Amino acid sequence: MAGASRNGNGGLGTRALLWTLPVLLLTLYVVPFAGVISWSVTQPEVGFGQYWRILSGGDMTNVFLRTLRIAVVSTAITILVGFCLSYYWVMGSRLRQTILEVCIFIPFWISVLVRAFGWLIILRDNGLANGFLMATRLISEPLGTGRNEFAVIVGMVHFMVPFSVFPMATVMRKIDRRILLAAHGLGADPATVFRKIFLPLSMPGVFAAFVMVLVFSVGFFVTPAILGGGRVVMVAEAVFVQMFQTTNWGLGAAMSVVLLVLIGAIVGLAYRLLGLRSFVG
Amino acid sequence: MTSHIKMVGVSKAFGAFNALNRIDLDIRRGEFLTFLGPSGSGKTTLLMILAGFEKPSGGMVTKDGADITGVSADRRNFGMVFQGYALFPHMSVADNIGFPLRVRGVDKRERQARVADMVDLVGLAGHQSKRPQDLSGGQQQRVALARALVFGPELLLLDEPLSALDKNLREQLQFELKEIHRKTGTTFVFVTHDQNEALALSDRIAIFNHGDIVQIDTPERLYSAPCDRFTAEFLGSINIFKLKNPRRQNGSIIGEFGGQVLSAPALEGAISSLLSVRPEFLDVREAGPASDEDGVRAVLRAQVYQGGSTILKLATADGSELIAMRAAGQAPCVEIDKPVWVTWPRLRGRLIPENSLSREVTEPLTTTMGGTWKITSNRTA
Repeated sequence: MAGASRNGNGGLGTRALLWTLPVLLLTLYVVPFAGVISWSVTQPEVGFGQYWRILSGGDMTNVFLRTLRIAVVSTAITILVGFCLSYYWVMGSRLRQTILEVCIFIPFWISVLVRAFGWLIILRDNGLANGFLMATRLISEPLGTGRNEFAVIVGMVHFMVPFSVFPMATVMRKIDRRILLAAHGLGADPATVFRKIFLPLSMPGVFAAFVMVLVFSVGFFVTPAILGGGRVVMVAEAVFVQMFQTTNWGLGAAMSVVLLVLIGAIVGLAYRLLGLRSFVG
Repeated sequence: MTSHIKMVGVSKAFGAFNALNRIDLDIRRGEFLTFLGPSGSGKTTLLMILAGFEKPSGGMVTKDGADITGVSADRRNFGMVFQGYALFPHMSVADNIGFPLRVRGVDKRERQARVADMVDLVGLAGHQSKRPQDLSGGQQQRVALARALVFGPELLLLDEPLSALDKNLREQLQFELKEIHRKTGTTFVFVTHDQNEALALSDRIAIFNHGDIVQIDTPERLYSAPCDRFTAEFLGSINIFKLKNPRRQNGSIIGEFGGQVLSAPALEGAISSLLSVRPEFLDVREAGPASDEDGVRAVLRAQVYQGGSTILKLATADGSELIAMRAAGQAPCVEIDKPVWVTWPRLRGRLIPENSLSREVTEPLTTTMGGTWKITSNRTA
């Protein structure tokens, strides 16, 4: 038996390491979440009433629709900005690459809370942006850029752009420069080389970044809570409110389950369409 | 043949490093011209300037008399085959080949017809819908060639296109390349560091060293009449005897080597002390030189059997080495370490100019007083 174990997947120590992650996931995530699921169909009474409330087209449906809208819009903007940044990073000279690396990494060191408050200071009615524009007489009254969807999207894009750069830059860096040179030499002008060669070859990175950022933004909490100021409530904040302020645990739990199903659907769809390999390179 | 592309005083500097020193070159219409030289000799840089990917630091490139120095690569209408092929991995074979036509706005029906013609020319029938990564190296090479020729370029540039292939396939593709050159009549400019490839394919070869074209001529003339020691040693193997006290006598140069008087027809200009003989002209035997022959004493050190021929390595009294080639069928008649004569017909001895014609000194000459040998080709399988 000892021999068989050695010939198999290693000894007891290796197997213990192998099982650590699944056991942790099971005890710290799956089991508690099973509790959440059970609340969603038992609180306050047994049945699917809470789910019906979410799907029936009332307030809660609006929260989900708003969340999806904000997520899709901010993801699209993030990918656009991140793509330009990745292109500029990968194709640049050494100096440009170094400067961009610093610019991409520094935001990681700053807490999401601090960054949200930073944007609040800039965007609110008596904040930096409106103050500057009014002082230069470009506008006569504040643009209303604080505490609305616009502010939430600005904050979310700012948070997610650095994350979107990595999958795209990794794929772009793997594109053989000689292929671009060949296309140019065979008669394609720079715009055509970009459209027909560079863009198709970087699409795996774009898809990977898109799915990652979309999943991320559907569950955003801090940024919309601060920059939305209670007027732009997204699902995560709504769950928080149901759980801790109105103590409607059943509704909060049902929303969590729907959110999880939504994210699972996005990931599953991406997996089916693109394959997991395009995410890990 | 008429002149097609002309390069006048083309130079290229990368920082303080001169990759090319004022190159003058006349490429003739329809010829197969090879740039041959060691790595770092400037041959690829010149190809990149020709293609329009690099801007020369000085000088001018003209096509049929018109200046094209500032014309970008996509407007030059030259085909190019890259080292490693650089095929588009997200396109099928047919789309790869059709790409140059698509960017030129050729309509779909004509595009398909011309792609089909190219597929036949390079022998890729049945592979049109495959992706490049599903093809073998030789097939990828053919796709790259078809893609570079499909739009009927006036000039085809090839950057070491065969270097990634194994020996047998390389030889087969050499024949195909030669055949395609004949069929299309396009001007080919081919870059390689493989002398055998250059000798096999080219109408003319330009020998590159340290950013200069040292000599440009037909393969036969380069091999039989190298203009300097670098060319002589770079193409094939050669034995070089440094003569003591070289002097003129009846239209020849004579001088001593290892106690023997050797001679060769004099060159124009200064007296040279470097007498060269190709290994295939050397005979190794016990009898001394006949009246129309020259010879030196040596001992046989080693023999290398190569199938079609045998390479003999010999050493002269002063320790310098000689290399002789014996065709198959001639039984080796000498024993290892036994004194023998190495002889050759006097007419086969050839002087090599000591002062290189190139503007820069090429390889530093070895300090051995006598002959030196060097096998430049070590690419025996």
